[in-house]
Amino acid sequence: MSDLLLHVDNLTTIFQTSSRTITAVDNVSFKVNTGETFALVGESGSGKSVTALSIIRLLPVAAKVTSGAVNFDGIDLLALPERNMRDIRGSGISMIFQEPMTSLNPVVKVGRQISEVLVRHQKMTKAQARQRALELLDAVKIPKPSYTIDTYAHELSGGMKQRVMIAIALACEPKLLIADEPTTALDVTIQAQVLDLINDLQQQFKMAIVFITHDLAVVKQVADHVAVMKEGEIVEHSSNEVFFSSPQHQYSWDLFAALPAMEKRGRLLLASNQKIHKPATKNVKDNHTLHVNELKVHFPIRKGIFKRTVGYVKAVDGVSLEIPPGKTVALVGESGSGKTTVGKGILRLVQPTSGEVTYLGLPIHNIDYKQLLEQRTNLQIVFQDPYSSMNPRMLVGDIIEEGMKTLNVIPDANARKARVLELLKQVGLDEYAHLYYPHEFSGGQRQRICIARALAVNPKIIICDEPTSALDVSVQAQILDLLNNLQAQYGISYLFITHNMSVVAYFADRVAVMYQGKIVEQGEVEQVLNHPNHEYTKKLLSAVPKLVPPTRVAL
Amino acid sequence: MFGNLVFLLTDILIFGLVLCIVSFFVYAMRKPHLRKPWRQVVRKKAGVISIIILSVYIGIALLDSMHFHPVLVNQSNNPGEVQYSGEVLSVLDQMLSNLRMSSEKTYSAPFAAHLYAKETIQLPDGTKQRVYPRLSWGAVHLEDPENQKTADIIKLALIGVIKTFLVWSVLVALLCFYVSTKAKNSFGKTVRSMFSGESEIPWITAVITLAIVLLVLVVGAEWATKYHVLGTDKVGEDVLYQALKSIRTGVVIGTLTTLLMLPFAITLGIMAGYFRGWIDDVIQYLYTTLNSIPGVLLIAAAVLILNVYMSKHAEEFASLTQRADLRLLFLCLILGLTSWTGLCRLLRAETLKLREVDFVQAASAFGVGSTQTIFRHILPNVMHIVLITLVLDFSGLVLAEAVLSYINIGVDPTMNSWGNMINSARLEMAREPIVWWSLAASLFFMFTLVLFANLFADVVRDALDPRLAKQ
Repeated sequence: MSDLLLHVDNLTTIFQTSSRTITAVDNVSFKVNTGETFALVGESGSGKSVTALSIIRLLPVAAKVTSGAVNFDGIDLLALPERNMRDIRGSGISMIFQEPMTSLNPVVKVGRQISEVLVRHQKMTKAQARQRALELLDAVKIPKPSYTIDTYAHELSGGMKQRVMIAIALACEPKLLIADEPTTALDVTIQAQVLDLINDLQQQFKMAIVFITHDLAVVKQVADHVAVMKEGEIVEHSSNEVFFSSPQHQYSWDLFAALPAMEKRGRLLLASNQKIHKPATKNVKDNHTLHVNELKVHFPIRKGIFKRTVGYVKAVDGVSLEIPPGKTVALVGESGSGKTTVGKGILRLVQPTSGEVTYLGLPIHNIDYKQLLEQRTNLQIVFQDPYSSMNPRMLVGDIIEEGMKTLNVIPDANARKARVLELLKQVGLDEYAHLYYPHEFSGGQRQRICIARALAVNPKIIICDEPTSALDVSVQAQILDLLNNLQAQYGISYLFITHNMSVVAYFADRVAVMYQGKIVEQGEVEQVLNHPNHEYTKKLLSAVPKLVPPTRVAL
Repeated sequence: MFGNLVFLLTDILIFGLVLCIVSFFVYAMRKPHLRKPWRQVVRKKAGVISIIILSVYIGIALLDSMHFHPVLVNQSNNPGEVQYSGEVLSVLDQMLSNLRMSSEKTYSAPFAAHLYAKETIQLPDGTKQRVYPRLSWGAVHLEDPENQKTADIIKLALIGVIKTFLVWSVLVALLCFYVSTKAKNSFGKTVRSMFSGESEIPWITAVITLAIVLLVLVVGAEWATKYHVLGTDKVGEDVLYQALKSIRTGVVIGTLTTLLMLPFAITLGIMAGYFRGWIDDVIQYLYTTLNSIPGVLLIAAAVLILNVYMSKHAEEFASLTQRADLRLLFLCLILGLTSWTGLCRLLRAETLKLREVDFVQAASAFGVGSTQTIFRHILPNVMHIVLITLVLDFSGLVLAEAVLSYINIGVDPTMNSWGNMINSARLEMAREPIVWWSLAASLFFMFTLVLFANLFADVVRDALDPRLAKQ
């Protein structure tokens, strides 16, 4: 059982650009035995994917392995000619990637994509390959394989596509499967199914798996051994039990500390001795609560030459919730549940089809343009992707100033400039940042700038549309701490749209669970997460991988 | 030496364009995100080479775009009064006046001392003989062309090489001096770092290209003082002169056409994408309709209508040049009218994408109006597409001119253009022995321009493509 299958020895991979050389993988060594799962954990840019690509020799042109050896089943992979390497790929080592949407060829039927591999590597005839493809689709638990085999990729859901990808990877019964963030792009319920599937198949095929991920909860569930990567180096390497009970390296501790969880409520993540002071809300009048009543947003489907409306996509179908002042309301749901559209509908970035949004006694859904402009200072939004939410052609200072200028919050230009500097400081950035362009900042810094931009007009409510889901967990912790501090300081309410249950558990006061355009359950966070009523909420919560961060024993 | 200036319509437009480009670059140099891609352009070898060669072409075109009425010498009755000729000349004409004036009777081959056709001449003794007569300008300084010509050509070439070397050394020294003062470095250190092969800008490539370009220009100029370097055409005009004059036509068509179509393409494309709904429908129907009319047919119809108009209103044009110029402008206009749809479609698609991007949504969450959103958020983010199209279309339009002139619906027949040269070569190629130099000259000049315009377009596209820039 414990035969050595893969031995990576002192692997170093560099990226060479005309101006500089970056060491992406720095002296990495590890061993993987037959039948076990080895997890490579790290934040983005830590070199975990490059390690995998170095093993399978699919590095981009600019990258080069400068030293080290990769021994797979007694073969030195780095010395192998490309011809023989091609035989290894697929039949010896297979790889599945993060994005199932782009990994399949959209114009070839999925059955042919599977049988292609079989014909190439196992010299099967077409009929044999088709038979085997059917068996494989059955093995990855696709319902009705005989139907699916003749479909195209776009007819399948994300989870189904990832199953097909796994079927292709398993076609030649590889000894080693490299899974590069295979569930990151999937919803949590689908993720649970795919992880189970990978586990089952590992038993069945006796494969070794190199599992690359940034999600510690997933690691705990799947891995036998864990290696933590940071800046190209493996900083900690231990077995699952040891790692999740008493990690050795400070960086591992930092990672655990940054994880949001129910137990950490009321304290900052990165300075856990600091309590969060919730703003006093007792004296605030009731009309400071934002009420959403039966909000519906339907998108018409138009067809034909005259663009007749033939039907509606009911993105939001009767949502009611309220956002009390100084509180955080989380809106949770899987992709396509319509949660982002709720946020945009409240702000009238998308015109609601029907329903009411009232704030300060004003019907936001129905007021005229001028009144809406006034309300834009009260209601603001922070977007998910910090890369696309700022105009790349504008200076950070101008970006932050834009709202103040348009809404005439501060009419005086000099005062406005001073406010920009103040805001930058408030979100923890250097004052000089206003002279730079957005692309000169990291993802977390950009999200801070976006928060500063929203803050600039002194809003009472900020709609946060997955503001941390594009960020690494340590950066997420920084942003959550920042949002907590701002709430304590200014009494801002948040509508926090997310799919991440542990963020909800840590951050929100109330939670509303959304499913197919409707809210199926809402209430206080403790209530909903600990005692869910609705079937969907139960299903959602049971799918979330559980992880209780280790507590440090005082030395 | 120059008389009173004449501003042809195309002159004004082309200098306006130059002004726009120069001010854009001055502006871009101050904005890091605009400066970055252009820095990348000059860091590529292909970029540097094509910039040098294209600037020679553009320089010639600009010289040829400064027009004036020359002063008439020795014809004035009273000495105080200056009289101007009705003829319109350009600065380039003035510089090439010996080529312009040196007409022969008919065809002569490159570097020839004799005509290409036999003529009957009367010898001093009264007998008649059919011979190839000597040219009236080409190689007249030679007593015995058969034996002296080769040596003379080599001699002129050597003089040219020496002059090239002198000019080149001065230019390179000035360049090094400029770079060293700008980098605030010592002169020697700058030179070493520039030519060590490790500098970011490929200086070595730059100075070698400069040397080759200068060599061609100076040696060519040296030969052109004594010979018809590229021969003469049917009416004895110097082919080199024609080819050089054609540069302006090509450059004008390549640039002005895009310039004239840009306002349509940008406004309509962005409007269609941004406002959607019925505005989008109207604009889409407009350009699909326009696109379904065969371009050549539309151009032919427009040019023929203009021809009729011009022949009926001949008195409205001060000179033949002005008339030809109007026709050129009209051709640009009609070519522009048939070619804006492509860019419009691209811009519409890009705007459709951009208006859903978070930063535009964020702007509308601040209540930023449509006009401001378009100018501040959309337009700057589609400018790279406009630039790429502009550069890519350039070479296509130069070639289009040649094709249109070939079927007689291009520029005015009196105007020098590569298309007209190729058109006349139709008969020359059928002649026995064939006259190849007109065709060869026009093809060479056109090929060089189009080739380097394409190379430049490639480099610009690579530099401006956001997908490539991310890596």
